[in-house]
Amino acid sequence: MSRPAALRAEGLHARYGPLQVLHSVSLRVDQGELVALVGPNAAGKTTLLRCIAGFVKQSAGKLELDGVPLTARTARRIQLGMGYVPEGGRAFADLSVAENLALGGYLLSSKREIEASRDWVVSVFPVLGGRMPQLAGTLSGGERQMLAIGRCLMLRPKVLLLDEPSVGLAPKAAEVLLETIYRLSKDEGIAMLVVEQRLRSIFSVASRAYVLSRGRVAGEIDNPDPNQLPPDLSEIFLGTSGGEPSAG
Amino acid sequence: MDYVWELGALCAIYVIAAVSLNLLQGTMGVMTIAQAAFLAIGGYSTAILTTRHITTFVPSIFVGVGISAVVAILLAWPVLSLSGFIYTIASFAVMLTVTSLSTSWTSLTNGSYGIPGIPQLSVGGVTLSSTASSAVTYLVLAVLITLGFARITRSHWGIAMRGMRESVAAARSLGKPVVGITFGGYVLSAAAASLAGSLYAAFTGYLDPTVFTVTTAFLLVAMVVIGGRGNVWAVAAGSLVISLLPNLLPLVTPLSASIVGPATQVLYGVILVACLLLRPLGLVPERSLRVRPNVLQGSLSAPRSFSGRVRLLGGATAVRAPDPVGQRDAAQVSAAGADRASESGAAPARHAVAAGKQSAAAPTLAASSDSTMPALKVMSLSKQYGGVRALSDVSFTLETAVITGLLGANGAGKSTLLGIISGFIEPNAGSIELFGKDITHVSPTARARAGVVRTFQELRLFEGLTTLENVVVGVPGVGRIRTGLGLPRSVLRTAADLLEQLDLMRLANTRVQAISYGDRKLVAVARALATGARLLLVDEPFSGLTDREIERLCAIFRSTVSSGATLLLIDHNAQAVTSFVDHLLVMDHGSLIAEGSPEKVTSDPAVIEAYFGRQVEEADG
Amino acid sequence: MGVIPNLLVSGVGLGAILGLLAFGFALSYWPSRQFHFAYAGVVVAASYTYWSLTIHGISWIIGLVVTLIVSAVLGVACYALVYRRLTDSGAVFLSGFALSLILSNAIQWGFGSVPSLVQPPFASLGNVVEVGGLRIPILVIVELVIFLVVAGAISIAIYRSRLGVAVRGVSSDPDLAQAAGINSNRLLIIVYAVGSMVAAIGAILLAYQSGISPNDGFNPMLFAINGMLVGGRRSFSGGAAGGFGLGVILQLSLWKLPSAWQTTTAFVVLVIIVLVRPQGVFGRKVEA
Repeated sequence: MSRPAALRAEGLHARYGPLQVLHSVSLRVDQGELVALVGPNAAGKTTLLRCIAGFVKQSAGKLELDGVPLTARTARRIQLGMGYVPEGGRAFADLSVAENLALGGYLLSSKREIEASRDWVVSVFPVLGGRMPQLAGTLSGGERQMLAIGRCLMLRPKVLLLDEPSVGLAPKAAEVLLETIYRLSKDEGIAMLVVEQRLRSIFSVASRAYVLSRGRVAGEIDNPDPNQLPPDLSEIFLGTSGGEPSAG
Repeated sequence: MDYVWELGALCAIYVIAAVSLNLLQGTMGVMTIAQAAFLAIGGYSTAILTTRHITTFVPSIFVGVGISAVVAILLAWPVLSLSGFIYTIASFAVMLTVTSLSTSWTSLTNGSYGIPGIPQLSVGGVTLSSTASSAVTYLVLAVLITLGFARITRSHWGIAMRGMRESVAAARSLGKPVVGITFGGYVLSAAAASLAGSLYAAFTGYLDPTVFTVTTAFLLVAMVVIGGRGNVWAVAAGSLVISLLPNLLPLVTPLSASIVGPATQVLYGVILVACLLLRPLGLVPERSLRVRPNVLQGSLSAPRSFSGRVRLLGGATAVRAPDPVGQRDAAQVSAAGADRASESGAAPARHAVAAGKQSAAAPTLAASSDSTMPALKVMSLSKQYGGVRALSDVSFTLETAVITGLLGANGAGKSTLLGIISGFIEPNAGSIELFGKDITHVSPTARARAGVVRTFQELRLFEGLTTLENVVVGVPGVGRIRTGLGLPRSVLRTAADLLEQLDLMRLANTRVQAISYGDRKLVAVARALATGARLLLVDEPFSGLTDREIERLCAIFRSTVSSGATLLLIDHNAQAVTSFVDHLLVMDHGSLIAEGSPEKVTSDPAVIEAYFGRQVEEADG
Repeated sequence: MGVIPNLLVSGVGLGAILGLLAFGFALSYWPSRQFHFAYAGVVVAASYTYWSLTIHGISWIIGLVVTLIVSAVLGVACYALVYRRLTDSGAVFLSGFALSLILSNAIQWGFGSVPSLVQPPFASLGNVVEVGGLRIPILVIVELVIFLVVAGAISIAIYRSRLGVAVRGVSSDPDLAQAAGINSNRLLIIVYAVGSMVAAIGAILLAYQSGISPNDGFNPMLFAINGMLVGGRRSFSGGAAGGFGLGVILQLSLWKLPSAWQTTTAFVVLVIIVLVRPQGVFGRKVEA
């Protein structure tokens, strides 16, 4: 494998004050790959994404974007090609869809580039194309989520971190969204790390899945099968193995 | 020499005004630029009434106080419903209105010509004719008033006020009468300021609209800010210094009279900016209640004279912490409390009780609750936000003295359900019964007093207060006028007991903003337990805790339940919850999808489905 | 012809000034959410700078340019040296007041407190213009034109240019803007500078209208804020319109109320709006 992974983490540690929230997390996402990040709540999935995106300081470990090391002091990771879509589909509510996208492309240098990016984003999410002058605050949940992803796409990221993109969406809309980002990753070669709760949905598009539990990588699943969930998943998620959690 | 007495009298007036504002701004956290309005009301009341020979001095003070009290209530009304910043602007507008009214209402106030010839202070025939006697009287008054406010700040009432300042929602959740406290504090503050205004009018003998202006109001705010928000004596001292400044400057520097005025203002401005940049909380910090641990420990072992050893947890009947009023009166107290709460329920407060709704009959507090009746019965609760169904037809029962867990993913509706049960959110449909009494439309404050207390996921601790103070606020009776003017030892005992049980005694005198996350969570639980609630709703208790802290927490939960309380633990961390609770509820997308023992529920295919996502649909696009 | 048309005319003049002041204030308020209370001091400083230059024979154009620069510098200094370092919005409010106090009193220290008149450069054109029996002061026409041009031009920039979209983005959601790579700090410096310059223009017009005095800053600023809050939440042009409307209302109120009640009227309107419709007349109640 001569190409470095688009995203690589090795032995990543992070803490919130005195609390250790990530323990020695290692993962990789290759160009054009869609990798799922799953696990029970409070496992640290959001924290892991925020750490990679640079909003949570890594206390130890290595992080590389396309072979370029990212240290605790690397700011402005979006300029290096790291896109991060936090949970909740936040948008500039007072601004139109078009203006939202324009702000997504704020760091682009010319108007032409912005327009080109915008056209491309509309080709990915045609729904947005029909809503350009509409105020973002009046969009539906699904549309806002698309807008949030679209805003990130304006800078043509190499890596895209998505935190629960389908939350709050109806099952059908969620399927469509995940399909869209799957095709996006394949066609544009974007490496994607997607946190999701809907296991079956995400397993049908992901090529690999990392299972995170209590801040650690508890397992890695190759070619996850949405129709056949591994048996020990139940134990990790619902703690049905019983007894008090062991002292950590 | 006369000049010195004059200075003394004026300083005394400033001290009274500043100390009055300190209660409002420092202790209660209401940022208002309208305090000088009360000075104006008091001053003009005295000026008008005495120069027109309608009344003598003392009754004029009462008239001023009366009018100020009414204005205070009007101003206190929006405090809880307006964001702090908008409230400040509004208070600014009010201040300017009062000043401009005193200019425009010429028939009453003589407009910009002012009112001359205001007679000196006279009480019962005795007139203070000399500057010296006035000054001494005023200074004595200033000291007395300062002492009074200091006592209030140190009392249980003051602690409740400070708690409210940090988090109104948390105070409500503990059953504190937030509206009553706000009104009471505001009226007291206004009354003192009004008195200061009356004293000023009598002393200088002349009043016009340029005396009490926006600049005066800001000056008072500056005194509180610079002196030390909340610290009565620091504010008094600070105001003394600041009011002396313009008079000391000419003695120290060779400035001509015409520029002393502006030069002083420049100096004030510079000092204020420096203070805000360097010491935003003032030169002297607020005083916290500090009790030496051995005193606290001592209070635990000292036998009580009338009801034996006080143990909050353990002892089958005394699930509710005895308040100083006594158990017999508990029913009356709660009825009165609920009545007051129903009035507050109609106020434009943040909880969603629609205007005009009657509050339910006050649930009475029998000391021995009927153990065959379920603690909570929730029937067909529904809640919709716009097009989103947050809760669909949720029904379940919580049996008394049982630990129930509620699980669900983000967005499953747990927080909405918690908000509705605790009274912070109004349901669209359905009803709730607490020990058989309908509480569906009861305000969160009344509900808390009836025995439903919740914690918050974001904790909402009273940040500027110590661990001990945080727990003290939870104790019933704290913040209620009935509890008197001090800080009853029984209250301290109750709080100390809880600190002991949760191993927080070592942090009793530490401000909670400085303690670890795990300990903060325990403080939040202790604060809720201090209320003696019969139904405790705990929001996300386990996240972020080490295993040892989880053990400690589970131990105290068990202990609480074994003395008769009911517990509902809401969390999305399934691992911790399933291993601890007796009974389990699972929610998904607003509906209750499973209910039963943990073993049964976690092997329910519907639950597994909810956690892992539905089967990929066969349907086509 | 009756009193009302004349009141309307003077209302337009006052409205233009208040509209400018409100607009200038809104420019710094919505993006930073900080109450730039030193605005009053900036207004006084601007009017005195202009006056002290032109009274010594310097041409009004140079006077204007210097005043604009001085105001911009003062405004930015307030932000960069003081507001930016304070975390609590109450502290920002108070510090702004303190800064106003310092500025206006320093001016009083230097220039004395006697009010002075300021002659507009077009005074030679005469005082009034007669239109259909109505006497319209030339000053009012000038005020209206300047208001429309300045507020209009800047509004267009805000709604069309990239920088303008960024300003509105920061006003809408500062965290999200930061995450998108927008340098809020640089942006805020720009809006404080531009806002102060707009204030300076308003101050100069006010000086032509009613002279200058060191304690003159508060009332116009408060009316301006009044107008802005009435005009609309997160709406810059709404703020300008609100200020304008307030000016007209204030003058029209003189038809029935004695002039002493003007201030009271304005503030009663503010209190009512703030309590009843906090998002303002033109503002949108959008989910935050």
